[in-house]
Amino acid sequence: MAPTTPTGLAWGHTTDRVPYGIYTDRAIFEREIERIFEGPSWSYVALAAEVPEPGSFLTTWVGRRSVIVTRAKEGSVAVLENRCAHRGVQLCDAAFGRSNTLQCPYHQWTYALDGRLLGVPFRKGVAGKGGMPAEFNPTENGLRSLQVHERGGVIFASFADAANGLLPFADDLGPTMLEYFDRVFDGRELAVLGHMHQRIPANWKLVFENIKDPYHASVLHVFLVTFGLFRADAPSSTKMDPTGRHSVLVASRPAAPAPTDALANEVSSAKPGMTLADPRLLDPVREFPGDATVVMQTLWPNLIVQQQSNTLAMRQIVPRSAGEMDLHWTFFGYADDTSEMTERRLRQANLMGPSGLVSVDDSEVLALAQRGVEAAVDASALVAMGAGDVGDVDHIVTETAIRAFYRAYREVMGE
Amino acid sequence: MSGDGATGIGAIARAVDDLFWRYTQALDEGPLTEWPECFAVDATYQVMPRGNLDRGLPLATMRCDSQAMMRDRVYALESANFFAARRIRHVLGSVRIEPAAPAHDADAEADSDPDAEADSEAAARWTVRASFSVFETLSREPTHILAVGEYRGVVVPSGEHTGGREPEGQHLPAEIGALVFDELVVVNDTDLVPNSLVYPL
Repeated sequence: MAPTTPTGLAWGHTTDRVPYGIYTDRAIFEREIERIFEGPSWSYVALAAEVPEPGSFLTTWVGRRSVIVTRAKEGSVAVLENRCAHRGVQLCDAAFGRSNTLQCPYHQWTYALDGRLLGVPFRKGVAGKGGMPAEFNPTENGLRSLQVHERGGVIFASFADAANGLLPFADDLGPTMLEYFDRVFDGRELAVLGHMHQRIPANWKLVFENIKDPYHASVLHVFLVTFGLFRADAPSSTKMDPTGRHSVLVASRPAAPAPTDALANEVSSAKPGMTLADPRLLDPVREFPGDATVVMQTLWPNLIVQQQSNTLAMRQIVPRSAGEMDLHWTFFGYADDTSEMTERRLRQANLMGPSGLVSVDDSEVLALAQRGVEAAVDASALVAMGAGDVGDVDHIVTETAIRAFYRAYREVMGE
Repeated sequence: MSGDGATGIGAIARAVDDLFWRYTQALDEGPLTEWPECFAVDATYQVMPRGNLDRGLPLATMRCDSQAMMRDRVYALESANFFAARRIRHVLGSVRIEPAAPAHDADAEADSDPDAEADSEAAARWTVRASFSVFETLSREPTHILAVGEYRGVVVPSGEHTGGREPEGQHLPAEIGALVFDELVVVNDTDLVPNSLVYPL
C-alpha cells in the first residue's frame, strides 16, 4: 500500500509520483487558494511601468481575488482588494485607468488610492433621520490593503504578512533566484509592449510545472529545436531555491547550427531541413551578460518570467477552478531600446502567447493533459527522469525541478 | 464614388468580395497555403488585441511583416506545431470600401477625404472594413466562438504586387482584376482567447 495523506492521495514512497487528484479535486483547489495564493507568498501583480503616474490604476488578481494596483499622489504603490467594504461590490471594473479616487457604483462609497474610506453618502442621515450609527469609524472600513514589494520595476503583493510567515521578498527568493531575477530587472526603466490573455482548460500547476520541465521543450517544441533556440545537445541547467518552490531553466544556443542526425533520430519531430522564408522572424541579438539565450524562471506561486532570445514577458497565472486557469502575458522591453530592438521584440513575440509558434504547443498539450487526468483521478504521474538528480543539474533530461516543486507543495499543503 | 460601371464601386465591391471569399476559404476549407496568396509580397498582417489597440500598445498576437513571414507561419502550422484537430469558420458582416491615399503616406491615409479621392485613378488602393466572427469546432466537441472583431485592410490590384502570380478571381472586370491585401489588421475584440489561436483569423 502506498502511503496516503489527509486527502487520501497516493503520493507513493518516492518523490517521483504525482497523484492526479491534485489537478482535479475541488477541495484541494480551495486549500491551494487559502494556503498558497492567499498564504505567505509574493504574487506578481504588475509592472511599475503599467501604473506610471499618480492616479494610474489597474485591476488584476492575486489568486482568485480581484485587486486594484494604484499609484497614489506621492508616487507610492498600493495593492487593494477590489471589494467595497460596504456590500462587497467589485467596485473597479476597468482593466486600466486614471482617477483621483475609487468610487463604488452601488452606493458611491468613495476611497482614496491608498484604500482609505473618504466618503459615505448620507452618513449623517437626512433631516436628522437615518444615517450610519455614531460609532461607525471610516478608518476601520477602508479597502483591504495587501503587503507590497517592488523590485526592479516589478510589483508583488501578498494577503499575508510577517505574522503569518511571509518572508521579505529577497529571502523568499534566495540568492540564486534573485540573481536571475535581477538579470532582466536590472534597474533600467521598462517599457510595456502589450498584453495577451488566454483561458487554458487545465489546472494551474500543469502550466507552472511546464516551465520546470526542460525535457518537453527539446521534444514537443519542434520550432525551437529546428531553429536551435533550445536543444537537448546545448549547454543548459536547472537551478532552484533551497525550498524548491522557485526554479530557473537556463539554456544557451547550441554550437552546431542544425540538429545532428543522432538527435534527429531520437526526436521524431525534428525538421533538419526547415528554413525560414523571412529570417527576420528570428534574428536574435545578445543583450544580457553571459552565454545564456533562454532563461525561464518560475516564481512561486503565480509568475513565469520569460526571456527567450529577445522576447521578454511576464506570464501571470490566475487559477479559476481545479480544471481551468487564465494566463496573462505582459510583453516588455526597456525604455532605452532602439526602435530596431522594439521591432525585433515585437516580431519574436510570434513565438509566444496563445498563437505562439512555440507556446501554442503547450496550451494545446496541457488541455489534453487535463482531460487525461480528469478521467483517472486515482492514478498518478511518473516524474522519474534524472531520478538520481537532487537540486541543481547541468542537463535537460530531468524532471528534478518538478519533484522539488511537489516536495515544497506537500509541505505547504500538509499533504 | 459614382456610378456602377466597370471601375465604379460595384466593380470594386465585387473584387473585394472575391478577395474575402478567397481569404476565408483558404482558412476555413484550405489549402492553408492559399492564405498568403491573398496578400501582396510586402504586405503586413497583424492580429491586434482590442485592449492593446485601445491603449496604443504595439504588440500583436500574430504579426507577419511580409508574405514570406506568412508562409513561415503556414509552414510551422503544417509541419512544426502541435495542436488538437479543429476547423474554423468565418462569418463576415457588411463590407465598407473607401478609396485610400497612395501607399507610404499613413497620415494622409487617415485623413483622406473620400470624395476628393474618388475619381483619382492613380490611387488604386482602397480601405476595407468588415465585422467578422470566427467559430471554432474541435474534433468531437461542440462549436464555440473563437473570436469576434473587425477587419481593417488596404487592398490593391494584384498584378504589380504579387510577383507575377495572378489569383484566380471570378467574373472580375478586367480594369481592376483580382485584389490582394497590402495591409490587414485583424482587430480582435476577444482579448481573452479560448485556449489557443491556432490559425490566422
